[in-house]
This record gives sequence, structure tokens and C-alpha cells, in this order.
Amino acid sequence: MPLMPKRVKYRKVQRGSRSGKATTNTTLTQGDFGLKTLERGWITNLQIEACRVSINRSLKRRGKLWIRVFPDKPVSKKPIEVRMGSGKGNPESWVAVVRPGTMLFELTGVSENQAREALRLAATKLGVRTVMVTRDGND
Amino acid sequence: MSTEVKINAEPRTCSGSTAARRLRRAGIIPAVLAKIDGTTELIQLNSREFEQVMSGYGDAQIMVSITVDGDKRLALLREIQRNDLTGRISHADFSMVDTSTKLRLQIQVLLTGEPEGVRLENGVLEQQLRQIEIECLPSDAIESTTIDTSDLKLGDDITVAALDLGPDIDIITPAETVICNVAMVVEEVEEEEVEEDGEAEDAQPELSVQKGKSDDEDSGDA
Repeated sequence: MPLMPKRVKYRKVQRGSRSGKATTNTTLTQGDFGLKTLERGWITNLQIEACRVSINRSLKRRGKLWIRVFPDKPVSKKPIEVRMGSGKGNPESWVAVVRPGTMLFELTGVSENQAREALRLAATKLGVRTVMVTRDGND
Repeated sequence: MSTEVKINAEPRTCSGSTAARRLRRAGIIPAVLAKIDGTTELIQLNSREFEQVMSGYGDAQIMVSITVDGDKRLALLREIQRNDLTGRISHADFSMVDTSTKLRLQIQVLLTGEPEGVRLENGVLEQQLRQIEIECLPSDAIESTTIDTSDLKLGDDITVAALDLGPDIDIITPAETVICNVAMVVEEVEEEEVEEDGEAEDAQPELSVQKGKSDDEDSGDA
């Protein structure tokens, strides 16, 4: 089951703004290592799931992972070869809006080298530039 | 007893976000020094020097000896603000302390050793609390305390009550607060099962407010 809200008030929403930098969800709260985005964008539920799977495979079920973003924004799309008009398309996917500085994942219970490799693999699944952060400071 | 950290500062004449931004661009960190009488003094620090001094302390509250225009004062580094993207220090808050008055400060809790539950029972060490609040005289202030977790088994935890910081330091954080524990690793659902469940991808969340218009009408000719 992909990540999505259990219940929503409206099925379709407007695109919204992605301007500015992240003001919340920017620091490590639980883990010792984290993956932080340097760009703004939409991260889909499938990308988040792919990251989760790659991190868990890399760590071989050691350590603990926190996913700090949730895809709560529906993205609609019109079917191919359909003329414009006739209303908004159907919801196709769910995305999380991220701004520069947003913490995406956090890890603990593993060595720094293992965390670095796991987060590197996860970063390749994303469409935004990221940086790994530790408790001591940015890498 | 903490080691003395020396910081050189200069008085600052400009204030406001634009001036602060200009200073940061020139390699200077704007800071404030709160005096005992309640007033504040605007100061500025050399970015490179201050980053070097703070490299070993993280964002801990530490006692510093701050020299402003040749005038040496004992102060507590209350807070450091960092840029979320670069991690560089963007602002610092100091407050002068009276050597005869007790003060409250946050100190870091560091863990050492690999717990038995992690080594032998495949558990994971979770640290719930990274800072505790203490009360002491400035001369007794410490930056951090270290806990040995080697004896922790699966399901065990360490609370604040287990800390012993000496008779001169009072711990303000409630004694029953858990600092760290060794938890069992939650087994992941088999990935094959998730992949087989492809039909679930089309699932949509339910609406919390039912609209008068039905979904079929909403989709239009598409």
C-alpha cells in the first residue's frame, strides 16, 4: 500500500507554492544521521517508498529509520490524447512538497559508513539534490 | 568542571536583518550579550575563529570567557543559531553570569559502549533524551555527561535517575525521564508481498466531507 492519507477533505487541490526555504522539519530530531534536501520540489509516494526499500536493503534490517516527510498532496493528471477542458483530471499520485532544508530521512543504530552508503543509495531515487547531515554538523 | 573557552568579540553598532546579512557576508557573526541588569549589548564575532572554538562543543550551552574591547567577562553561551542549509553559525546569544548565583543550563548526554542487547540480541540502541537541564554555580558548570551503555540488555533503559553529577549539581529534568533504551528491531513486511499487492496503488482515500456532486459527474468526459 503506497503512502497516502487515509482521509482527505478534498480529492483535488491546486498546485500551491513551493517558494521559500524550509522553516520547520529542518533538524535531526530522532536519529544520528539524516538526509536533507537542498532543492525544492515534489517527492512522490513511490520515490519515498523506493528510498525506504533501498535503505532497509542496504542496512540489512539493522538500525532504525524515520521518514520525516509524508505525501499528503494529491496530483491530478488528464489522460493522454484528451482535449483540454472538461474539468480537472483525476488524482494520479501523492506528493510531499519539500523546500531547501527539509529533512527527509533519519537513521540511527548503524555506523556512519553504513548510514552514508544507505542514504547515498536513497538519494539516487530522488529528483532533488540532497546532503547527508550528522549530529556534529553538515557533511 | 569545564575548561575555559576564550572568545574575542567587538562591539557592534549596526542592527537589523539587512545589517546582519551584510556582516555575515563579510565573515562576521552578529551576537548579543545579555547583562545581569537585564540590558543587552550588541557584539560581533569573527566567524572563522568562533567556528573553530565551537567545533568540539556542538550546540551545547557552555561557560565562556568573553573579551569585549579588552574587558573580560564570564558568560554563558545560551544559544547558537545555524543556517539550515550550510550549517554555519548565523547568530549567538550570550548572557553574563553572577559567580555567586546558581544558573540553569542544558548539557549534552553522550553515550559510550556497545550495549549487550545490540551485540548479542540484535536490538537497536535508541537515545530519547540528548540534553538534560541542570542547576549549579558557574564554577561547577559542565558541558556534557557520559553514560556507559555496555551492560544494557534488550528491553533495558537508562533514566535520568541513574545519573550522578556530584553534590554541587542539581538535575532539573524529571528523574523518571528515559535517556536511552535498547529496543527490538521491528521486522519489515516481506517486499514480495508488497509488490504483489499492486492493485492497492489505485486506492484512493475517503473524503471526510461528502460533497453533493458525485465522483462520476466530477470526472467529466475524460
